[in-house]
Amino acid sequence: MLSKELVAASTTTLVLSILSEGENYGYALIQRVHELSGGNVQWSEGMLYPVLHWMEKEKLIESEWREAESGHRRKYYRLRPQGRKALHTEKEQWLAVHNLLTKLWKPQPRLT
Amino acid sequence: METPTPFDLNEAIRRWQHELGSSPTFCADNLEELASHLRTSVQKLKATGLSEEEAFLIATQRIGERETLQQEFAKVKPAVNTSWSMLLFWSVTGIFLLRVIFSLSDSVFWFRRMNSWRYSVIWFRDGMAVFLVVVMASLFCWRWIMGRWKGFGAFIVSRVETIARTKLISTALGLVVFALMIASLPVISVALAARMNFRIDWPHFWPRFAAKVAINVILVLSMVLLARRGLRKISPTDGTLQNRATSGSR
Repeated sequence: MLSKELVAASTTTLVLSILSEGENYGYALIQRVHELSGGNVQWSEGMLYPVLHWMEKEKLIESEWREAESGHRRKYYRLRPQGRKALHTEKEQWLAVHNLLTKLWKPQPRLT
Repeated sequence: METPTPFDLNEAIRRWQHELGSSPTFCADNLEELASHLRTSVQKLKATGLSEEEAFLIATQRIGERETLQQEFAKVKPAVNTSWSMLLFWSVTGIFLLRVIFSLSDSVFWFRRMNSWRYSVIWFRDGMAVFLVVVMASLFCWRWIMGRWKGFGAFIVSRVETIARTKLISTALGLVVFALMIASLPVISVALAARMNFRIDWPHFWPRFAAKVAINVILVLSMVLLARRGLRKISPTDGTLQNRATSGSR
């Protein structure tokens, strides 16, 4: 299980990445993260929405209410150009951390 | 344990929304989105073999507790709320400063006219007092209404918020508040003049009055614009989102 801090730090990046695959709604975003991480990343469900709203306010994503198959309305989110740019920067930064850690954790030859 | 009345999902969701909606943090749009989430969640849980009622209970648990939700939603909201209250704050501060300046200039005017500081002092003191009383009274009333009738206060706030979403109406609302505040200044002047048994020389009063209002409008508008600029600079992009994210992490 990921620590709270890491979950919090990675939320925007995860949302941006999933939305870069195409538009989606809140519940599906949570499901997708849950499945892909094999249950290691658990978002407390309601808390995703304030983040989405914040991202919308920052013009990273935009939303639209639409009718779902069930007949009820559902709010779909999709990336905006600014969000795509943000994802690009985020990617670079996460990869930098990833590369650094991989290098550090490469099996070291032991002398003893 | 079987309940005698069958479980009604729509009714349960409505009740859940109603409970959440008693806090002004959630606007109608938030409530609908959360309800839509609950519906999808219940649907998926039911597919695993749970009853509708069990599914609803689990779904509400998973979505989070009321207090936590409220806290998290409130963190995003301020951008709207603060900008409104900040604008109001700056307008009031601006008007207050203007009041001081005009009171001072009026005091000088009265001194020159009457050749005595007596009237100037009365003018300045009473002008400030009346203004302060008006401001304090409105603030107090607002707080009282909000505290006293929690549901009512939340109702007003959510209504104003929904209305304010339309740009035209929010501009109109802002202008009305603005006009009222501006109008209060000359009204105070006239009232004070009446109190001092000073007969207002209307033909001469009007140009002065118009000039005052015009200067007020310009100064307060620039104050508001400055505040807006300031707000834009302060607001997010400082990476605080990370702390805003999930699981009530603080």
